[in-house]
Amino acid sequence: MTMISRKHWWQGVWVSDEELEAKLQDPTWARTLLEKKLPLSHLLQVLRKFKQSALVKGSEVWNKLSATISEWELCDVSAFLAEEALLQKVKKELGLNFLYDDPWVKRQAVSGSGIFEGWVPLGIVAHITPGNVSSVGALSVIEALLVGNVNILKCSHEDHFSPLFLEELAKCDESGLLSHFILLVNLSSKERELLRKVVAPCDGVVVWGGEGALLGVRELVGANTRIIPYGPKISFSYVSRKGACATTYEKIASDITQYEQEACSSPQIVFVEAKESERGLLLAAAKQMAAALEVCERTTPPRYHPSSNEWAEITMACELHHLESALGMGEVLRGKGWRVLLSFKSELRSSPLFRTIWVIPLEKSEIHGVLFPYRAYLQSAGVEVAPEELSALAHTLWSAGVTRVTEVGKMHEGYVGEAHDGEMALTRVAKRVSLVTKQQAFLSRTTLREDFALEEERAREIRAHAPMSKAHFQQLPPVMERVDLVFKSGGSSGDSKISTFSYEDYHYQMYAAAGGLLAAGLKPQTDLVMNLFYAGGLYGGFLSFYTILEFLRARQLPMAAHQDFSMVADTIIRFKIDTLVGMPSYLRKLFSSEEESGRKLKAYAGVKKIFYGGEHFTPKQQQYFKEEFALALIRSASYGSVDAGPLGYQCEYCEGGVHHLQADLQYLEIFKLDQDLAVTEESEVGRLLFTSLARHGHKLIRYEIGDLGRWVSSDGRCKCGRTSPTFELLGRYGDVFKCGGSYLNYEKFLMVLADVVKGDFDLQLTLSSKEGCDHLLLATVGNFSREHYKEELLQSYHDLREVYVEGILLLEVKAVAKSELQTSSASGKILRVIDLRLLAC
Amino acid sequence: MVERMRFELGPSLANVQHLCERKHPYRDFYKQELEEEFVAAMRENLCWHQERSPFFKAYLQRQGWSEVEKMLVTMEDLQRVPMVLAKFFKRHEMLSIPREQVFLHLTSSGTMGEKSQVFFDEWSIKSAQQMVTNIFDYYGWIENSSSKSVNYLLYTYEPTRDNAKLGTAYTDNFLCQYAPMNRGFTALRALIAHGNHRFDWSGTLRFLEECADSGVPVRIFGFPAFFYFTIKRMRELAMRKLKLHPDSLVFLGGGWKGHQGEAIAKRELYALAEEWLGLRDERLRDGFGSVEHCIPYIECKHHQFHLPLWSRVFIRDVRTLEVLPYGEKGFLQLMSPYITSMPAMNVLMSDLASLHDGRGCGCGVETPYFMVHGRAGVSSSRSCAIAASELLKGE
Repeated sequence: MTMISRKHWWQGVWVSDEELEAKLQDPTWARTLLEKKLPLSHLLQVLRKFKQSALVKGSEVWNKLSATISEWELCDVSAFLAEEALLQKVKKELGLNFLYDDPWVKRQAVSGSGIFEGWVPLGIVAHITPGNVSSVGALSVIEALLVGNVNILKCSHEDHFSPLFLEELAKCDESGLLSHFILLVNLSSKERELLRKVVAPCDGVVVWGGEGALLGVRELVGANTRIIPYGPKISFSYVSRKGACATTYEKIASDITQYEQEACSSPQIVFVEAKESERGLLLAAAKQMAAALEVCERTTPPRYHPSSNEWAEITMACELHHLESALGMGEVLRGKGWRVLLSFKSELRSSPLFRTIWVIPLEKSEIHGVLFPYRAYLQSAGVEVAPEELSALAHTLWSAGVTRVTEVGKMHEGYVGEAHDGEMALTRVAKRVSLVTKQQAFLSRTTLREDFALEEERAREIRAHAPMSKAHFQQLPPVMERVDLVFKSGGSSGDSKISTFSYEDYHYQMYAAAGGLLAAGLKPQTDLVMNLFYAGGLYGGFLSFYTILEFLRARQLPMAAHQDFSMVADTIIRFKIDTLVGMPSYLRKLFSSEEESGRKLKAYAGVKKIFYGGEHFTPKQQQYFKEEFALALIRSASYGSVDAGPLGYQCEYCEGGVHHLQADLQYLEIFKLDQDLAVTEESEVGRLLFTSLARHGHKLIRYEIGDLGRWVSSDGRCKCGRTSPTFELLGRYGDVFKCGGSYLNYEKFLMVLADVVKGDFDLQLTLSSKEGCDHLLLATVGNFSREHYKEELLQSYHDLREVYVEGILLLEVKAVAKSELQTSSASGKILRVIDLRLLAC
Repeated sequence: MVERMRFELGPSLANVQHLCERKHPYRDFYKQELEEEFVAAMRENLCWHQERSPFFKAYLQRQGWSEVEKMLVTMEDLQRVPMVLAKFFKRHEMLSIPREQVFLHLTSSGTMGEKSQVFFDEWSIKSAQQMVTNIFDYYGWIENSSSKSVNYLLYTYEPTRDNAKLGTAYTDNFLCQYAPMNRGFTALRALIAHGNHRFDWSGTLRFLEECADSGVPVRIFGFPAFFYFTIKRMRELAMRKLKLHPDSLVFLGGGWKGHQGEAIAKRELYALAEEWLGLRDERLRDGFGSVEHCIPYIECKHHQFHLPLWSRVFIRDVRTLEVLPYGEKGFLQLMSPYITSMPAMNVLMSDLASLHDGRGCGCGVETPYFMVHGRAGVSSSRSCAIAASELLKGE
């Protein structure tokens, strides 16, 4: 019986040598591989699942994997896959502005510039790894996957880890997408011709290994293939005369033992600031080093032991230096599991590792001369120096070729987004691309994102949650480790609560909101803006808009909702402000004909644009402003709430309550009014439920904002060119109440009344049960005749008329003083609908 | 005519001279008389270097071997004689003779970037050469009659003014004295303008074809890698298989050098040579030697490296350096008292090897033989921490 060895993994299928050759015969194989896209969010989703379900200590997968590499190495791999760390890495290395930024989204560099820049995958990336370092192959592939590349890992027969790891990872992707991006070829170095066929069409080749490996690869690929070398490196400690202290060598010993010197950041030499002739001092240092290693021998047993070849290397190095000691060149101090090689000559030596360390004199003035010839190999220097020496020494070390300077005892401590051997790893497997356009429609866009469809898996996860009410949200304990900013959370619905943000979240949300304001018609290059939102008292409005305008590089005057209206008006006029952002109630007062400021602004007639937020600005009021003050544009600056952040925005084609979804931030579902089910008909009015896709602190999942709306079909694309979904906002939920079999809407009452009443008015609806019927009291403040508007309502509001005529609803109208209306204890805003029927039960 | 050496070493090295001048390379190896002579010769040699090399004197002292006469008495004492690493000679010039007595200065071909500087006085090199002659004689490979002249194919660097010191070139040219030369060809041609060498495969193939057609025996010496590349090229070009004269001889040496990645097993190479060049298996021989230890180890017809009586070999545990029994792998330690120019009488090589009882070989030679299993140590990094050999390339 013959067994066909299926040792290559081609997009999820194990194939034999012959099958691999057949695939490579197809001249289009490389192009075919690039047909699919791998969004970062999808990869992270799969990694999350892999970490949670498979890469768990004691699980079957864990046990299988830990049979191929050491347990601690597996722990390191697992730590590398932490989502937060990967996001930080992507952000830092690709120079993204935000943690949640999709690296593929092309952003307008400066709003209004028409320059959009972003990243695309390099394409097909081959990874050549040394056979005996197991986890490198798999991690190298993960790194290139972060940027969406198709990967071909050439793994040797010695690497049992990477194939198993990648196969198990791909299994966690039910969609099967990930396996399109991972190929494994199991070829020995003898099968060079086959390897050439695999590697030659690649866009990049990541080579882990020494010069031999690198030269071998150079010979295989064309001149245009990007070669990304990660060669082996050497690291060392440096102890200055002033810096040496009692614990210095203990700390160095911990750097030595942490990875048994197998890491590139492990010290192989301790350079002691001394002259070559200071033999006593050097011998003392070597003895201290030896004593510290002897302590480790007892306290920190080795994580693993040298192989026979590694022992050979250690023995040779020690014996050689032992011979050299007879020439007076140094000393060999050894214990059972450690070796200190003291040399009196200032030069770089490499150690055979496994707790073998050189102690070598090196004056500061000699550093450059001794190290520079090896600059291509230098990596970390762990230094023990006095504070006044540190900066100068770091400069010397950098100029000699060292890329990392740390303190002794901390040589292995990296930070997220740290460069690798002086390079940002991800940029090497990505390409920077741009679009330059002066088309008007594009100048008001911050991104060129095309596809807003949510990953199926992610959507499923969201749909598994029950809707979250505002009360429920408020009860969530704050996630305090993520809190950089605390804002008061509105108050239109009861007690004032707080809403917390990390800077990361806050900035990302504000950037999205800035995109909304740009879409709404703000022209950062020409408009001069005064920010009139409320500030202080933990209120977020003013600050948010300050940030938004800063993002847009718009010129702004940060006035806030100052109560000296006259001064505000004077300032507007003095600086020739043409654009205002603020709350409608404040703007109404500022422009009121009863105020001096209103008269001044009317005479000025220079304010052309108002972007409002926080409250409604009725069409009627807008009309008034436009006519009285010669305003050209009044538009919502942003639809959102403090809890949920920006939710939507209006472009120039959005009429009335129509909004684009802030789809970078939010996932929107619209539920039926009386059931927790998505609306079935396209234009059906329902409750809006938002899920924030990009937030660290409070995770808002299916949050019922309390607003009503319906989907607006624009055949997938608004006239403005943006592809984000559009919906129409139709007032507050709770504004809608059930009477008889019908839903009535406060907004509708407002709309009808706005047509018949002159000037501002307030309306409060109170529902109660009276004699088995629903009783609706319309309390009004304003200038209109009672009978007239009752008739008008019944006339124009069909659903109201029905229940009224059927006798299900008793309707009462009553003019009251403003003080008689009930207000929210938190914000002082007038409550719109008070439903007392439930209390009566 | 092969010359026989005449040289007087003087009474302090009488045993050295007597041992090294023994003509039969393998006979009497286990005899007590020879063992005693070997121990005595080693003792003489150690004292010689102790007196002349400050390094060696200090080293013996550090090892507690200042009193050589007392320390080295029996065969069992041999394994305690302080060793010097072959690598040590790559880093330090070590002379036990006045510089003007240096007769030959050889460098190793630098497998790992480091080059040994090895110095011979006339006795040391000629004594080693005499050993080669003796072994060639033992196998009947010495032809004095001009009617039996042969062609020489040398897989070695064509001599230039700059590489004359290279040990392998020196050795291979030296081997041409054992049979009169009809024609010769050096495969690694010197590109004088570039200061390097290139393998002239087409010239090599043409030369071999001419040898086969003319029916003149050919002697092929040098690096196995290029011998293999030659056959590989014949196969690639789908050339006709050649039938070289049955008296032809292949004697390889010097290892695969920079071509380790393409190295194939010796047996495989011999099978190819038999198939493509019509060479008999017993006419295919490999040699093992190094400039740091010039005693020739030449394959028997069963392809084993038997010890000649001028040397002793130990295999050492790579971790503890303890002597290992037959069959176990460890560092190769080569010992011979022949050398008077530098303290290289007891050299620890970086090669991994095992020693075997030669009485079971069946080739007729009964001395122990060793098998080489590649280089001990790590040539490239196991991890991202650099290996010494890689750092050296950067120098």
